Amino acid sequence: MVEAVSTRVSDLLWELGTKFEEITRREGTRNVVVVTRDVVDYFTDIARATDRVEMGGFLLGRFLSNHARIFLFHDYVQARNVSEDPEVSYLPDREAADEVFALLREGRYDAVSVMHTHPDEAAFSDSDLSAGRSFAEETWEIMESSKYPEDLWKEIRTEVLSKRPCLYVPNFLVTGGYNPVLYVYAYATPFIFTAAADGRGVSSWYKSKRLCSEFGEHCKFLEKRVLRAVELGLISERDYAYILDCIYDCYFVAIPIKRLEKLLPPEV
Amino acid sequence: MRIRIRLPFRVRASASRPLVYEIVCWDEEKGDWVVLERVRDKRAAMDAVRRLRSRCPSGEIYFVREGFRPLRLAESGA
Repeated sequence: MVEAVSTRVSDLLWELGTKFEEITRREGTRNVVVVTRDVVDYFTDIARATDRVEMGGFLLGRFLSNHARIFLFHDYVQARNVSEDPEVSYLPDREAADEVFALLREGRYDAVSVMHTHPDEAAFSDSDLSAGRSFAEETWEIMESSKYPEDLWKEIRTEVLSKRPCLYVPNFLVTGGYNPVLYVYAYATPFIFTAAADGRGVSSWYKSKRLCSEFGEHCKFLEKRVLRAVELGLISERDYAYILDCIYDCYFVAIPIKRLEKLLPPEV
Repeated sequence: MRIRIRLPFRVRASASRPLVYEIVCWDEEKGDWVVLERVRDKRAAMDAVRRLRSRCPSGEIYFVREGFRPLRLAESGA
């Protein structure tokens, strides 16, 4: 059974790699984020389930890099929110995170991302952006370091980490309210987002927008929020620079959950 | 190896104040969100959005937790 799923996912990954080869060249971006029907259903369910506190978990999948870099998320693990303030922040349970990393080290997945929900209609905050990026950086270091003997890793670590493809790993947010919205956000370069189904490929896709070029008011709001946190001594000057980078580098896609279904190719 | 997830700073802030939801409307003239009302719980916030829709000429009215803001989704094409 596990082997059959793995073959299906591999086939879909190759199919996507071929399909997006030309599209990514035309669109001037290499990064493509794809979710499967199961993940679309998870987003829909968790949007309904979120009430007063933030919820979330990990999305797991495969990564293929040719001209197009495909991040295909086809599985998920729900993780308890252990934040001291679950009404305003999401911190995944560490045990669940360790289990996810064990799966990565076993080679069952090679891409992982965090998704979380907001009980209201708020978009991603500065702490969502910085926590997402720092998680991607740490995940990537764990995955890269496990490929090398310890001594060699110490030698090449700086060079490997300087390439920073982890910035392209997306994070996911689902909001609540009357019209739940899925936000997909990543850093540094634009990306394409779509949903796919086994054997049916993809039908349409969205291209990300740069937060600070096109949504100046939200960019300014986040900047002010971070500055206030510095003034209150909640974050250090060093973290301040890091968080501002996350805001300025942010690219995102926003799609109402009800439209996600339409991204999936029709049943044959 | 154990992961070292950075704590979002709001977690460390450990807000002790009770949660408040704000009903915000996009003000075209000010070019900013204005708060129309503050309520204590999510159900009241959802009701308030419905009730206050006519007081928001831009039609962009949302409920958010205090300290958060929505994105102008109409502008994003969403």
